[in-house]
Amino acid sequence: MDERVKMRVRDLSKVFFTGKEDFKAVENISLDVLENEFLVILGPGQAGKTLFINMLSGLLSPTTGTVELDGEQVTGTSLKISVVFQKTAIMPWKTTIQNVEMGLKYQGISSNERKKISQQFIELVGLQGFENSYPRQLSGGMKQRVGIARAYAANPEVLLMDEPFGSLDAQTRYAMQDEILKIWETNKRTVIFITNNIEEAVYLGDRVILFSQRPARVKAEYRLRDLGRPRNYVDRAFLEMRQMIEKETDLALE
Amino acid sequence: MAALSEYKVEVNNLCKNFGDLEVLKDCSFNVRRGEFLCVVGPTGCGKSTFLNLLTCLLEPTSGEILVDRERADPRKHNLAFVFQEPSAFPWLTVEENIRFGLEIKNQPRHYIEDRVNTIISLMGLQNYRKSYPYELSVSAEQKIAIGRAFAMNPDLLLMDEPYGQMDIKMRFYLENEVIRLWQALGSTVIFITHNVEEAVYLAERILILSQKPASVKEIVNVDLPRPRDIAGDEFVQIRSYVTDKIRWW
Repeated sequence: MDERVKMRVRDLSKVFFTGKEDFKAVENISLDVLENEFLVILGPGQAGKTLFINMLSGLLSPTTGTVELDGEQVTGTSLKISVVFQKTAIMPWKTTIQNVEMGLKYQGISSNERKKISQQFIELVGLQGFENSYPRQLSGGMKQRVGIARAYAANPEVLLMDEPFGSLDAQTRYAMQDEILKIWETNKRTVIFITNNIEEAVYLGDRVILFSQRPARVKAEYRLRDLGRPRNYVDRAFLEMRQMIEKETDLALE
Repeated sequence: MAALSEYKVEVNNLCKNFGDLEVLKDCSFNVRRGEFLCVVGPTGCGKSTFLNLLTCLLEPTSGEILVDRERADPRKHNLAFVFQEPSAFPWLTVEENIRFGLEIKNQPRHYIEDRVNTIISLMGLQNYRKSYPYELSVSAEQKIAIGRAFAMNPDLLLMDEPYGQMDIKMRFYLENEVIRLWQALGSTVIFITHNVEEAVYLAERILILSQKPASVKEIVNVDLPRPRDIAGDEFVQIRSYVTDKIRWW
């Protein structure tokens, strides 16, 4: 595995200045993301994880601190970065293939070439036969796969996934976790994957970074390469890792 | 009350068809008085139909549901339901939400006070009596709906995956709470979930539904002391066993 740093985050903070008092959402986060690693950001509900990832993608500007991609500061959206959103942000009036093609269209790639690339990723996520279906004709897991195919088709160097399986039931979630690993292994990219699910984090990550509850800070880091792959949800080492992380996780009661 | 059957709820040969589509096929099982039963099944197995039949929102094509040996009747029996989505009434405070069902059923004033106080203290909501749901987190809102359901002293409490979207720390916290409520109040609970670990953590018995058309595939006893250790050998063994029974992925 290449140990080159792909993204460098330094002292990243986000503060919202409201009438009464300043609302600190993200506080002084520094971390490195290695090339082609599967990095999981784990944090309790409403910790500020989405704000953090939106600053990585350039959709949101930080109050202080910097994000660098290949040594260059990220100041706005970039073709090198694709995002899979928490709520399936696919267009309801477009078919599967039209949704997947979208990023390529904005890059000015010809219609034929677009079709070819899109078809390849539609097959990779197992949606062949549904190319011409509209989102309302697809199940929740399938819609999320359209979003993943679209993100991959744009051929990004970094994929940001913001709790993509959050709204799926536990079983569909297991199926999608296997799917996402299969795609990552055949198509190595730098992936930053956000979740609030400890089991999912331990199943997917090369490395897991645990955020505190709001304001989000780095609370702990876990290196999971030793767990090997594929992993088993009920292996002793797996369960022990889960329990260790769970102990460190904040309970966000209020 | 004399001659109570061992079973609170008896489900006999329940079938439901929608036109040609068979969704539920010959489902029979019993729920013991004061039991905590979890139901698991593969995605898309007909779980919603199953729930809607048990709450008498749908008429079965054939078969029957008995509560205390009588045909289940929402006018007579208390069938409480906690939905997947938090469903506290936004225009009522925490306390008013919990009183809601009791007042509809015209319970005596002192009984309502007692019951509401018991629930509020069991759930540690004393400081939030006068709060509105929007002032609380989603998990707290779900707690209100759960408190409201337990307050009714339901003959049967159905919970439809109430903790689906919560992080695990929160889930364990709420699962422990639901066990505490159940143990203190002795309600009969059917808890539906996709999450096998959750089922093994909570249930006295786990009922496994088959693929559509759903029928009872097997009932598994979970005879482990509480609080349960999710990494314990027996726990893992039961979890793996049940998972294999519903695996489709």
